[in-house]
Amino acid sequence: MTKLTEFLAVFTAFIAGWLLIVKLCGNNVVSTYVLLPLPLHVIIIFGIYSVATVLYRTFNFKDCPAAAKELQEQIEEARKDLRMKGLKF
Amino acid sequence: MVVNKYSILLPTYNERENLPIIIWLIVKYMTESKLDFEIIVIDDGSPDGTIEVAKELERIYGSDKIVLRPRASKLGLGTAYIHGLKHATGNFVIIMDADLSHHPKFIPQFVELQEKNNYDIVTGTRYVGDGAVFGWDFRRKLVSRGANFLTQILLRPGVSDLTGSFRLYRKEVLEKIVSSCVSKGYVFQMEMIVKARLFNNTIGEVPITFVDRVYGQSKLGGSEIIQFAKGLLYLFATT
Repeated sequence: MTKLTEFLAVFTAFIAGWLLIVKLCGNNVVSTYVLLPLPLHVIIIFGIYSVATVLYRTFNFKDCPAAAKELQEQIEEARKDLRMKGLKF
Repeated sequence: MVVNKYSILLPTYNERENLPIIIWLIVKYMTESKLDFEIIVIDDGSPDGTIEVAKELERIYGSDKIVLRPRASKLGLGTAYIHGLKHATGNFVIIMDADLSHHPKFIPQFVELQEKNNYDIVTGTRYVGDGAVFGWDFRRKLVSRGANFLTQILLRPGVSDLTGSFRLYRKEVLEKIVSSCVSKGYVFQMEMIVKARLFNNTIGEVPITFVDRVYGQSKLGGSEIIQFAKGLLYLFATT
């Protein structure tokens, strides 16, 4: 089963379950304010979660200036050593 | 006891400046860790004369350590790995970029983790633990994190860094994976790790620091993003 078919299976099951419950509940306050907009609310909550997660991870993406500095020093060291070994840059 | 040998594949294109440094660093860390190795340089006819420098390095370090397997023209990463693999004599293969963004100091850590858990693959990751990047602005980090999040949701690969290309593979595992991959560029790395999961290979992760291209330009424009999105959807629909 591909990830796409997995997704479609879960999606179809969710929508089918939702339709069934909406049907069974009939016309009342719960149905109008909770059940009917449920899929929309799920999408909105997932969207907020996604944006928050990506932003949090972006701001907490570590920098490594020490690694960059170490590399620069090693580049100089390598050049010096390779020149001694006869390499022309 | 079997003594492991590590074949390091270095596909190059216009890496005249970087190649001597990366090779010097690999030799340094592999020697210090007493690991048996060879470096296979696959140059795709670089106009800057990378191959001339590579020949000099072969002379300095010996043709048992530096193995030159150039190709006439730019033929892509996937075929470069297949080409390099044909000549690899190690039982493990390491793939990395030659542009100094991947530091060879992490190779002994890859090896240690592989030996400890008997993994088929060990991959470097910029996204967890002490993983870090240098030289990325806010936009670059945002795009990277966003793309990674989307990939994790759609593919659930069980690996945190899919587009990174600093990895250690058992040779036969890499041979099988490479021959089953069809994508190019960034997507190729992603497809490799997704296929590895499909084949039930075990994968370990080592946090790495990623210092973006010291010489030359690393680009991430609209066309790279579109290429990535297409590849992601392709893998979503086919794996």
